[in-house]
Amino acid sequence: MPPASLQTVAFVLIGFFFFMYAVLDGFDLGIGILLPFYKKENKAERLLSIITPFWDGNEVWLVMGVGLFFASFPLAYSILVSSLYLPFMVVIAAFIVRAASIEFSYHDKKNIRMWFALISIVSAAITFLGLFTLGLILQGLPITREGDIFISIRDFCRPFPLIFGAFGISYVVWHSTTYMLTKFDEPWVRKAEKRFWTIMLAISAITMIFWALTLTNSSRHIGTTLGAALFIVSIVGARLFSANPKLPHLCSVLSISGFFIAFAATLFPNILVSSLRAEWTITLFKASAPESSLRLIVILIACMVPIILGYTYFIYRTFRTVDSSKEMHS
Amino acid sequence: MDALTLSRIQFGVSVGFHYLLPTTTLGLTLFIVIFETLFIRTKKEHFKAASSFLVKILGLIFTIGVATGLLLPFAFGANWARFSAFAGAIFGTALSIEATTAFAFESAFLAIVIFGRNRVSPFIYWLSTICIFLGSHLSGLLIVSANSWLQTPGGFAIENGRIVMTSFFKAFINDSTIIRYIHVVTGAWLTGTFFVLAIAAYFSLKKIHTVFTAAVFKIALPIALVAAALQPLIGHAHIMNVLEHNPEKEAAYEGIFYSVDGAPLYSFGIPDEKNNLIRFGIGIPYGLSLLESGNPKSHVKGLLEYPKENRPPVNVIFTTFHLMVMFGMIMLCIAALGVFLLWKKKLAHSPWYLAILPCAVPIPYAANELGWIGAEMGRQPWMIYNVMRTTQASSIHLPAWQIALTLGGICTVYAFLFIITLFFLRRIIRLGPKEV
Repeated sequence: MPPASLQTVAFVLIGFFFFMYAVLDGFDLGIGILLPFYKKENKAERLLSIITPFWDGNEVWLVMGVGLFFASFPLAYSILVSSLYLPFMVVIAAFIVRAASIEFSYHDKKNIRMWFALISIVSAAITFLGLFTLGLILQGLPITREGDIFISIRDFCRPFPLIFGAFGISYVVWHSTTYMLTKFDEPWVRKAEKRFWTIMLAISAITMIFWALTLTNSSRHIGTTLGAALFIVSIVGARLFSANPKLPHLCSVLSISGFFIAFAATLFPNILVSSLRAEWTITLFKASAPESSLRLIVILIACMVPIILGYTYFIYRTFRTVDSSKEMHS
Repeated sequence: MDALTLSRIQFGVSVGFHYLLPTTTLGLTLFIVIFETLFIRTKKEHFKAASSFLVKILGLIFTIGVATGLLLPFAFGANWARFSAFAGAIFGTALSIEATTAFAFESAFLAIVIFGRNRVSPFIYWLSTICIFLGSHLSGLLIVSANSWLQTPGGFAIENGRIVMTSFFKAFINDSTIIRYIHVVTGAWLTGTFFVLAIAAYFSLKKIHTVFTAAVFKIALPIALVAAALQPLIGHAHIMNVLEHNPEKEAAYEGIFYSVDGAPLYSFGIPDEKNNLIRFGIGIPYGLSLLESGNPKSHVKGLLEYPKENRPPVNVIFTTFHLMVMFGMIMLCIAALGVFLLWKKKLAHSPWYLAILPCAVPIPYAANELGWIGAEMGRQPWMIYNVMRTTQASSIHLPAWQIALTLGGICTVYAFLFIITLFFLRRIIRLGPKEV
């Protein structure tokens, strides 16, 4: 395999990990955000029970994506994480608090509403900042000739990343309602799915307009259009097929894949776009690890992915039916 | 304080806190596998109850461990950007392999172990406990291997100012991986053993859950004794490895400033780095020479023979090393006493001994932490031994105030986590195993 295609494979694998993370932890985050808003009839507890066996494992997809990013593009990884230091640290703190709050909510029924409120705040923070970062990457960062980024508050206040963050929240909330529908086909879930679909649609439309405006000639790409088309078709499909309790979720998964295809196509072959000058942009090839280790990690991970998917499927199958909360924590 | 110092403190706090949790996990999975195996072979319900009880504790510890572990790969990119860009080919690869082989595996099967008892057959459940045991130990191996590469780098070359991996095997199974891993895992098993012993002793003092306590004492005390007795031998093998590959670290561990024939083995002392001597040193004459080469008169190279800029700080590492050894000896005494009482069937009638066990829980944790501090401070002034200095490893443009801010945040969050986790741990322990 020539090195150029090695880097492309690594890029695709990282994208796949982030896609899986968005699909799987997406509904954990969405349900997390919604928890405090369901106060009656144990609805919140029931919602928590459908993510309980999975959320910890779902987070692993992010760790795998980040690990592969570090291993295959160490230069880009270190520039990105060190220059967006504070946002990244806030996201990590939010992850830590989320994990602890979900765990503590199992043991502390008396204060469960407090833990739910905390889960909601940090889930929203993770989603917002995660998508905000993707928005910043898409828009371009002030990368200098030396590969440094001197980021200022002004860069954080640009509309595109902020809209991306809002889009993220509206999307994961809707995504989680489609997941809820696969578990509980009940009127209150149907109502929520429909309502959040409308909100998501409105914010998605604004996001796509802004996205189209940021595209330059060099980043305009057939893949972006195809991804966007898949995204639109799938969310429309979710509405059309909403009579079936499983199909909206499947449509949401497809539309997330459309999002990631569009994102990757816009970025490729760059990994960190310089907003200062086109020639200071860091490409996959410039940022990549030396061939020896890149080849090893790409082959190893490509072999691991089917295995991981295999046992992930087994876990989801084992817990496909909803637990009564009694069984869960007995 | 400058950014580099703050980054070092932050990394130390992050890893120091995280290290409390996976060591407990490794030890707990050992006991879960033992109890599940006993259950599947004897079909006795109390083994199942014991395992389920420990699984509940594991669930809490594991979650907090994952949460605090998430910070670490980011911390390399964030605070140690120059190191990450330079050594990502090996270090990032290690973390990536750890996530995809071990971490994903153990997280997935942990779901079965914690929530799936009634959803899978007893055999699959037993297999799942084996999976989390193997997964967590493989995870430990890869992380220890990445750490060992910093101490004794191998399998690499430097091309165009960055690390290139030349041999996967030599990088991951480098000169100190195996012995360090055995040392760390034995420490973790001791931790888990003292952890379950403390719970059993607490129940025993209150005269509750007698079946559980009897089973734990019978299984855990012998394990504690074997592990505590082997650990000094493993530690010695590790020291011989350090002597061979990081000689200035070994000189600092032992407090040998001047080269000497027939060096003493200090068991206590206060290093005085200004005057290059160990004050109030109590030790065995010729002991170190004897241990290092088998000859009491052999030559031991002192720290002062190494260039000043390559010497690790003696104060910290001499002290942490000797405290670790002391705690190890205390654990050995406690375990030996326990096995003796068990053998004489006097355990239940020795409330004084049962009262010692819960108080002894911090000892293995302290030993783990001290050993780790000694190993990492002993690597100084290097980030990667003889390849990259710590001063060259940090992120250049990261302002000190931002690190100070995040350091404050991390300390606050971790302080809360620590207290609340202990609180819920106490609650789970008070509920105890299900009576059968």
